Amino acid sequence: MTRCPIAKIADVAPGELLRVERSDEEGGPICVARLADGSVYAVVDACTHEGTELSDGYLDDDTIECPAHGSRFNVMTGAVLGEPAREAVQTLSIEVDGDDIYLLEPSRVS
Amino acid sequence: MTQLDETTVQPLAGCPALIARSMDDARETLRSKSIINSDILFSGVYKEQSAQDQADAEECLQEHIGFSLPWANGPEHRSRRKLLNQLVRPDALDAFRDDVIVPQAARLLPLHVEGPGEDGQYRLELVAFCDRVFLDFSAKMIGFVGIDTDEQIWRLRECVFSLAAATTSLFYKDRTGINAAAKALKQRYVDEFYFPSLEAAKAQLAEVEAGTRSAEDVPKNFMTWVASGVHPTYQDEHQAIVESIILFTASVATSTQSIVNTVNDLSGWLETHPEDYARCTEHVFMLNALQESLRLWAPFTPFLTRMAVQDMTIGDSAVLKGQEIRVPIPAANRDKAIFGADSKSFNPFREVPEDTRRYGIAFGVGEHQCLGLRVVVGSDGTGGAHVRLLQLLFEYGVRPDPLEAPTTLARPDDLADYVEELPRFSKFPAVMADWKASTT
Repeated sequence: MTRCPIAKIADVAPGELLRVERSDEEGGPICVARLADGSVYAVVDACTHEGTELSDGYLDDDTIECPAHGSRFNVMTGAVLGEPAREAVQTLSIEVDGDDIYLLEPSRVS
Repeated sequence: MTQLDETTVQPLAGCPALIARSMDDARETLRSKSIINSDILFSGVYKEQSAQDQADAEECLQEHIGFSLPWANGPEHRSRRKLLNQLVRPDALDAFRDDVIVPQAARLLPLHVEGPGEDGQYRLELVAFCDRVFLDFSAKMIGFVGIDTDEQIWRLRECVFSLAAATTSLFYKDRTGINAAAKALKQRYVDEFYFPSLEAAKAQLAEVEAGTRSAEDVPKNFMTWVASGVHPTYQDEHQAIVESIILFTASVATSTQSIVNTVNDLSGWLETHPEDYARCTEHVFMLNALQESLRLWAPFTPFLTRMAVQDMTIGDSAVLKGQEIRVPIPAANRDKAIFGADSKSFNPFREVPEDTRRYGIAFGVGEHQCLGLRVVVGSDGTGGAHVRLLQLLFEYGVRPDPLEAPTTLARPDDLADYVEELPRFSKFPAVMADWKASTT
């Protein structure tokens, strides 16, 4: 498992979303969600409906809402909670260590 | 407005449109990133046609649809969509349902029910009633103010009804007459409703600027956004007016038609399935009935238009760059491969495949999916204000008036190629069989 720093905890206030740029080869941009209780989650930053960046949307409790068409996803599981999306959004494993947020990814064999 | 220059793909005049009639082809067309919306195609200005037809098409493009949200593409569409999507966020929808639509319907119903007639029946003109309810909703959503009297509402309704016909004049006979009526009523709409509401929004923002009003007290609606200049497109007065009209006509006309068609369909069902009367109070049953009617009839127009921006294929058909693709939504929504052998009939208990909604693609799919989806089916898919309104009507035994047939707008004969029948009711006399004199 690799551990890659993607943001500072101070970059995203409780109840807010943050977009972290990442190349398509690396899996594309990340949407980091910091819930009101301070816990942090991350999903791929593209709505499964039309690819709109979720980080530009809204975070209500543990639900992310797409800004363009209103699809809603559970930020912890990725499950669809509201139309028009049909497919879950991919969740990403992260870890908060001190002031930093890390993305956890399986190690790649070169 | 879409420009016909060398930087823009031009419609292929004289090239017959591909009709994406099956559900698979319709979905593929509406989801493709190589296919765009085109106000030029929808208005019909690219066709070889008589001078009068060309003038009618150009008036439709210039005055009623040009560059409005449904026909914008790419980043321009996305930025406006994000802004307008705020109108239908969950909290806003809950408030509209619980504080506006449902109480207004309950208040207005006794004012609209007439009778008893000589046959002892109480009657309701359903189109006018629904328009009245949804005009209130739309006016608040858009941010129109000062529409406090019935007379003002009816004057606004005349505008919205005429402008809705002008927006979709491609689908009606007498395009010239529709345009002429809409021209005068658009002026009334602007003078009596749009500008006063814009001035009111500007005054509120000025109060915020002066520190005499909290920014939180300014309602989040279209007129506020126009007044604040939050989107560059709406700094163009003409574009802002057209967009407001589109929001009005889309929300009022489609909502009314969805209610009226559900009443019509479900009444027919109940005649042969009287055991289901008791289910009309069940939320899920009514939601399913509404979705089934939407599947059959929405979006209450024969087809959507799209244009390919490169050579491609849809299903097994080759499509040329610039070729028009017509998507007859009601036809796709009656695809027997998806909805079964009885796909053309109404069945609130219809079973649909796992990957298909009960309403099919009634709201379109893809990036231009209708803003009204969540208004009708709710943020969580369990139904919005429309279900509650239908339950209210069926509580009083609503059904088509056996003595007076509904009226519809006349359509050109060639539209039968797209769907066998697609009535758009302009008047729907109904009987309220369980209405009691004491209710009035």
